[in-house]
Amino acid sequence: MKLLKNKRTYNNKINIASLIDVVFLLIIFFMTVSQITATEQLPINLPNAQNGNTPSQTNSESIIININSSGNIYLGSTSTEITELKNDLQKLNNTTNLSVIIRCDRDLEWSKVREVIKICRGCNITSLKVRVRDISGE
Amino acid sequence: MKLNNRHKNRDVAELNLPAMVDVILLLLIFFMCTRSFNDPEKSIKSQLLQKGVTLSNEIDDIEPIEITLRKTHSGVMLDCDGKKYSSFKSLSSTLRKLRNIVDAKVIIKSESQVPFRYVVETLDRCKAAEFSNVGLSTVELSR
Repeated sequence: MKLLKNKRTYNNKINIASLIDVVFLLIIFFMTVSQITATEQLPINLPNAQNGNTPSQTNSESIIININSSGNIYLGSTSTEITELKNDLQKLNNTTNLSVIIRCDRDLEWSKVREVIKICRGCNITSLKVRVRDISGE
Repeated sequence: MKLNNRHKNRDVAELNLPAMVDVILLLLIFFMCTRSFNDPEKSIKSQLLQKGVTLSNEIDDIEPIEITLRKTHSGVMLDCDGKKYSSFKSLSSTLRKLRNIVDAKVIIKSESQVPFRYVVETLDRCKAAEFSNVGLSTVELSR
């Protein structure tokens, strides 16, 4: 007598179609949530604040001055000295009514920031914004 | 007799799925790695006090509120119109009371050694109290 063998076979194939669906969704997620870091924004430990306004798109008439914890000044992403900053800003302010955005390290002494603000004032810049780390949601 | 004149070499349009999965996974890894986890940034607008120019022409007759920051061992001592405050919380309630009277201009002065975060916190508290004209003074304070 022939014994009946259990001939059930298991389908070990991975469902590639659904895998691709999931991976595509992940790609779309990372593409949409990723922020294209502007080259002008150097990594700086910004001061915290709760009442800041969402910055509008940085236009050609606004310039970012970065000051790191060592007090080094960067006009955009270009390193500059406090003595050269005035000339640089005056050149830029000749053509347009320049607006200045200051991104400064939270622990830096006020005297360093004050010098930069003084120079901005000397260049007849009237619009000044201070970048902060938003903690309103925390 | 059956004529055998039909083309039987059909092109098979199959997708090379393993290669496609490889590419997609590489794309996924790329986006995961390049994703920047930057903290959300916001801006606080401040007035730049020009020499001889007031903050707003409409409120020239109102005395400005002066907030002075002085460095202490524990942090910072705040001085608002002659009254001293050791915390930003107590300054906030005073600023709210002052704001309810009038939207006066606010001038923030600070000692050189005060960390920038305290100046920004003062600016932030003024914005929270809904003062519209807040300026940073560049006058050097003597100790």
